[in-house]
Amino acid sequence: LAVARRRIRAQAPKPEALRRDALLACLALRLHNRAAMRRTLLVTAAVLLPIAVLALVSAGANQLVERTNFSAVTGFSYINAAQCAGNATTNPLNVEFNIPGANGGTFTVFASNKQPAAPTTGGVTLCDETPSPNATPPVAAGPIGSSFQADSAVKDVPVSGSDVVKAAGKTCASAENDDVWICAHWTNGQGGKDVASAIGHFRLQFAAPAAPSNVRVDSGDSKLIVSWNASTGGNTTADHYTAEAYLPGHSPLSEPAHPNPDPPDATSTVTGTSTTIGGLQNDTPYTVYVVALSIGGNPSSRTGGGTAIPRANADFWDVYRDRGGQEAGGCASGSGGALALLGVAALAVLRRRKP
Amino acid sequence: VRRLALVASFALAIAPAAVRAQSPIWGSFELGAGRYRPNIDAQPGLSQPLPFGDIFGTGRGWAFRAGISHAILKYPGTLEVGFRTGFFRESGKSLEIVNGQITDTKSGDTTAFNIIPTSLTLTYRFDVFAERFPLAPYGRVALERYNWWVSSGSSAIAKKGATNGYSATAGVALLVDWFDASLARELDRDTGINHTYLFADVTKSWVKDFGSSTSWDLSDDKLSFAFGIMFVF
Repeated sequence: LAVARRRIRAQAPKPEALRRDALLACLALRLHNRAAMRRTLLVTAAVLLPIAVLALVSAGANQLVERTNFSAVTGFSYINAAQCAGNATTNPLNVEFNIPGANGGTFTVFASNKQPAAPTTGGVTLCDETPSPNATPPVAAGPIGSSFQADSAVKDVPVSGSDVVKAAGKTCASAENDDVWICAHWTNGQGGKDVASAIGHFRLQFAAPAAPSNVRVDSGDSKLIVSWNASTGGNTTADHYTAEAYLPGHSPLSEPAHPNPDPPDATSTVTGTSTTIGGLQNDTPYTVYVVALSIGGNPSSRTGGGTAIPRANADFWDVYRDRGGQEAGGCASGSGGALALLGVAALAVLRRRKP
Repeated sequence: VRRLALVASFALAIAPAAVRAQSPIWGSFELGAGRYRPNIDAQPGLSQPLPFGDIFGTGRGWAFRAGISHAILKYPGTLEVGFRTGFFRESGKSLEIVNGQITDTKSGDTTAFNIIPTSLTLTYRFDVFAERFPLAPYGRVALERYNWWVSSGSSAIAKKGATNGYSATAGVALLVDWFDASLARELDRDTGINHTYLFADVTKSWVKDFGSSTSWDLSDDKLSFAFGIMFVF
């Protein structure tokens, strides 16, 4: 503090400013002037903002997101290769939108390759609803499925990815990172058309990362602790990883002896290179694989295939007792506690005698 | 002449240092760290491999301490009564259980041994000449109470308890004020810290519930060396 004050004194002559700055110096050595403090606060805000955004899990007002494939970091929802080829039942886009006040009437979902225009005279921003092939550049647009009842402001609907891609004039061979907009338009119960909307910015992402390598598995109590080396190379970078555990007889592989792949019996998804798969049965062998996924959710091939067995385990206390330790736990000795109390009492007496 | 010079030097050494204006002294506050390893494996009758070494290895962990003391005598030297507390933690891998038996196979789960050592201390610091020659030797005796707990892989507390004992310490403190007296005076004026010492000491502890047969030995398995910083205020 004294050193900081000395440095401050050389820079700022006003004693009242010195006092304030000395307090700041107590909080962080760099904060000895307001400019530095402002810079530090800005940096702190820049670091914390993405963390706050990551907490976004549902569509905000007038927003439309793909619930399982939305990145709060980039602000895009993604359409991956499986969704591009899928329909509303198989690998759908799990769309959620939020149109405040919408209750009654109908919703219609549209997709377009054109960014929604600025608000119309009614104050509503809308996707193009029909194609304009003669526009420059040409606009591809169209409805996705049929209109449906607007019975709540927030709706979760499965949408066919292949229909979205087709309506937006794209294909599953389109360029990586092409943009598509999906909008929900509300026609209210009084016949007012497109009185409000929710808009989502989607990005086509079809490339898959390379598989991770060197999968290691440690057993724990009702869990397996899995680690691996990060994916390197591939057509895109790995955004996250999923570790999968399969019971005996279950397999993700399709092979002559096992024609239908099984879903994993337990999984754990992380962005790092280790995780714990919990909720497993002790003394049961599990086969473990790890898959790298792109930001859009395109999987690499599986790595692993090793088997590990979750086991109950003995902590230090169990081991100590098992090997003949006599400590019983609790406050074994009363005499030490009594001596300590005597010491405290002596301190209290000394303080009382002080004039 | 030589004899006179010797007498003069001695007189100069024992003469009180020039008294400088300083704030009243209440006591001291210290922060320290040192290496420590409980002597649990020394208990007679334990089977091989010995449990502490098997789980936590053979290294010595770091123990951190903070203490506050009240000066009850200020001349000659300083006599203080105080309270210290701190934290020690050692972690390692649990052992797998197969068919109800503990095996030698390490689990992926972690187990940890945690101690919060607390002490009531009586310290004498010979600091009469510290402002002339910046070293102040000191000695300390303490009543010790080590509150401990063992945590398992799920971070649950598997067992907890407390073990009592006592310790003796010898050390030396280096008066940092000696290197920049004007800064020390400024520090005193601004914060009330009269002196700042860096210290190093060695402790012999006996923490095994005064020989109880149902207690483990949490004394250090060797002499404990520690170092830290102390503020007299």
